[in-house]
Amino acid sequence: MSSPAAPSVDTLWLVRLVLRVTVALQCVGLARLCWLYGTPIFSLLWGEPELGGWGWSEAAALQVENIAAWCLCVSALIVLVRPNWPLLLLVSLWFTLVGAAATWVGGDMLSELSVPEQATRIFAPICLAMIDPRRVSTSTEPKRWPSVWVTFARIAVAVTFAAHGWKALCLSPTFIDYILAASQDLVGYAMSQSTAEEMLWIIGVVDMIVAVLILGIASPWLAGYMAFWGFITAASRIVYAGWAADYEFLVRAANWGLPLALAIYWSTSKKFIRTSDVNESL
Amino acid sequence: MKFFTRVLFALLGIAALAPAVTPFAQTKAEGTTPVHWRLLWKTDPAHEATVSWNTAVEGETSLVRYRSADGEHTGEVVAQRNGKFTGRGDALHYHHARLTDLRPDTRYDLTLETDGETKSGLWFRTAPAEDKEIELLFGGDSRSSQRDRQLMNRSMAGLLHERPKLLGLAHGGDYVATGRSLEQWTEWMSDHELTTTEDGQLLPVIPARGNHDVGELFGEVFDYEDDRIYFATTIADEIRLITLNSETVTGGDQAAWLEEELQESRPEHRWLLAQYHRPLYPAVKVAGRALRDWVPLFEKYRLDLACEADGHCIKRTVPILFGKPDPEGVVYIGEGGLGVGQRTPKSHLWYLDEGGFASRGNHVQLLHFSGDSLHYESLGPDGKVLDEHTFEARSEEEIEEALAEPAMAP
Repeated sequence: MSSPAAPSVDTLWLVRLVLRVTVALQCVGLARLCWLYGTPIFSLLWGEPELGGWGWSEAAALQVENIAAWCLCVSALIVLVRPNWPLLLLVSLWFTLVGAAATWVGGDMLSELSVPEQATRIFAPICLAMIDPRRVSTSTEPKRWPSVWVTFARIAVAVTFAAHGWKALCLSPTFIDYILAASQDLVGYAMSQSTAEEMLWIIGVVDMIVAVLILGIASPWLAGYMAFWGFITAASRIVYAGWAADYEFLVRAANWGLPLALAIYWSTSKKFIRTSDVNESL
Repeated sequence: MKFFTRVLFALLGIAALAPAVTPFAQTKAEGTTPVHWRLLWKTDPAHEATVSWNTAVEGETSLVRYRSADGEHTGEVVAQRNGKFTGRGDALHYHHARLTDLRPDTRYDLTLETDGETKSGLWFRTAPAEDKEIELLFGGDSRSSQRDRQLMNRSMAGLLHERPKLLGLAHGGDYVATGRSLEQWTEWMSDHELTTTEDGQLLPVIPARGNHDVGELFGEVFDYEDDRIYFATTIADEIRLITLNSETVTGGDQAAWLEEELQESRPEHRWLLAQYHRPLYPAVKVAGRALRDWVPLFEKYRLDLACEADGHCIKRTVPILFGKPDPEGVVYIGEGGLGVGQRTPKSHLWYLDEGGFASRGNHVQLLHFSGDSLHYESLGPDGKVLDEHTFEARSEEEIEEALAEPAMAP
């Protein structure tokens, strides 16, 4: 088996840049949410002990959110300039806790899917941590490029798309409202609710299909589509609620950033794909 | 999933979660003895009511016997809907008997019966069908603190006993924290018995759905058979209360229905109110999804009062029209204090500033309709008045002018 060609320095720099920007944006988005309205972490800390909460005072729980917000902002800056794996792991951990707390708090349709839905933002920092410290050799003997981050990224993207796909198949009222609003605001067409439901069902099926495909096919076109769709759905929050909902878009940066990183990586390392990368990745 | 969450936190080295304490239900169902009674109103409280109760064993026949105070109107209705509550835990069965053709403004004594086991001594009063001075309670969020919920329930029973004009309670949702927990619903239904006065008067409830009321149990408790849960209720001829569902699609069919409803109701009723769960001008949280779909309609048809929940505080906005204060605008009150920890509101928000009100504390909101005035009070558990305001009915000219304007997005 021949050694796969390593991606070029320019390509990896671009992948790292995309992931840095992605993680930075999601940190800023979550920080804004902490300050504006609070996250499920607040509800967990403040919640009644009889129901599994920690029973903290409102002030103490808000202070935790405030501190977390500042840490996220500082993390965003560091991630852009000089990311390091301990910080990235902490960022990933915090996003995991937010997702887990959302499951505990409940109060939304399928809130038990919160962690899977947020898999991309949980794993984006981890992927960056894996890829960033490594440097591409400029010697004539190209080194084997680690592909573990690719595996994590594919799984995270697949899980996020599957979770959203399932919600779509369950005809999430929120998603239906987004479709109706987009139709009205962007196209000027007053779509009926039944049509929106049919569209959503199709979207759900497509999401599930691509979620499965990304695990088995290392295609830059597939990843590119997922990046495109992740961007559209993240932006739909702003279409629906205006720029006041910018944090909803920012916190979902990994929904398009992670598949975009995959698309760039795969599109510039075809030889890698044709040889052993698929087997190694899986 | 809760178990997974706890394991996750433990593995990550976070201090162990406080152990969840199983809530203690006051009234435990046994055999076919009726317990957890509740009286539900939907669209026509002058002529219709649903009497609901639970039993441990389903039984063969569940029925309600009713008798008007003067003895001239009596009847027996076999429960049209019976079943076993969804969920794990001790088996519990529900029975819903839908009474129709009742006389307005009439006391009815009730006897609930399942397979020979009875519960008597309960009664309720139908709403008047004519324009009359009446009172209505509004509240929401009874989901988290059992102690506070019981306190508020007793408080409401006291109000029902002391105030003969008080008809019922519009509940803005979030009865329990986990909508799929039969245990929590059982506890809520048991605590709801505390709203019954000492002489057996039931407090009718007009239930809206909250974001925590997910799953099938909500419909089984309150006799809703689908997820639609939006409708309009006429009370005392001149009051139209529109119950909306902020937990389903807020645009689409519901918005279309709302516009049609407002168009028909505004000219025909002196008072037009709405109740729903997620606030559109919130004092604590982010605005609900319905902001873009409902507010233009509220403003176009000059809704008098919007009753909201979810925020866990007390609030009354200034009158709002087209995104700014306007004397002809819509006032939003709320936001849930029937048994939930209270949040500190953002009093600096423009719509809570001068002319508005924001505070925190368990409360229920009393709406007193008298002719062309609506007097609103926010009452604490001890009956202390925390906030009050008086609204005057809109004139016909004002309404005609408003209907001539196009709806505008907030």
